[in-house]
Amino acid sequence: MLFFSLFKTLIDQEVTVELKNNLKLTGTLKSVDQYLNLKLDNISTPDSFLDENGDMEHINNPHFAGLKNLFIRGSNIRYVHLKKSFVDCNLLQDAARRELAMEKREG
Amino acid sequence: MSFNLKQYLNTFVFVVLTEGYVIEGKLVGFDNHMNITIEKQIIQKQENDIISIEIIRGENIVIIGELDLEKLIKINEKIDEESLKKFYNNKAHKVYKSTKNKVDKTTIKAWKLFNQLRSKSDTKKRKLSINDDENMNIKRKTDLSIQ
Repeated sequence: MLFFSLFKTLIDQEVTVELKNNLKLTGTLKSVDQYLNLKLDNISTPDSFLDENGDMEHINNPHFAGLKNLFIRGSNIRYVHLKKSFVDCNLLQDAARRELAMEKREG
Repeated sequence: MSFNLKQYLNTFVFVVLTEGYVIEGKLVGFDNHMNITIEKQIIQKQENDIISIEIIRGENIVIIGELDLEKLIKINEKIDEESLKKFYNNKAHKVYKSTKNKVDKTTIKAWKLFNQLRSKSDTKKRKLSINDDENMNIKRKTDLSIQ
């Protein structure tokens, strides 16, 4: 549950998600659930750009045209890239140890 | 447990599957295994047009994207309706790589070679005396560098 709560703190921040089919998506995180399924807004890929009308144009993914938002199934995510300022690694490590200790005490 | 798919109900979506196929249509239903049903025909000329319905098993889904239909129609204005209809009523079109870790022939060959080399190095090890630990380490390193 630790990483679920970590991702909850990242809501409304910009993240980059790399999927197992080598697709790389950048967007603002809108919601997370317990399987780490993600919902992203304002999607862009490394090769997409804004055209004259301010619409996002995706060259390599033409069916992304007219895309509002995206639901990503957690099981197909390989990496989530975050900015360094979003996460305090020391705090995260401490929390992980504490959770492990709690589990040991209970079970 | 529920997936937050309620907002997509009865909207036009595209679904990318693990095999790399893309399916476009209207999301009609989902359950708590994330199995979803999709009405395939986006463009309907008459009300009686046959709509095919597809049920997709949840574990095969990679992403579900909500589409803005007005924008889609704007983009598709240049293309004539017949070809568009054909396109949408077609079987799913493959766009992406598979997410399943399928091994290609070259890597299998490489692994076979690697295993052969390893078995050879095992026989060498037996010939060495027990005291020659350092010597063995050096040999192993050279073996690895060859591979």
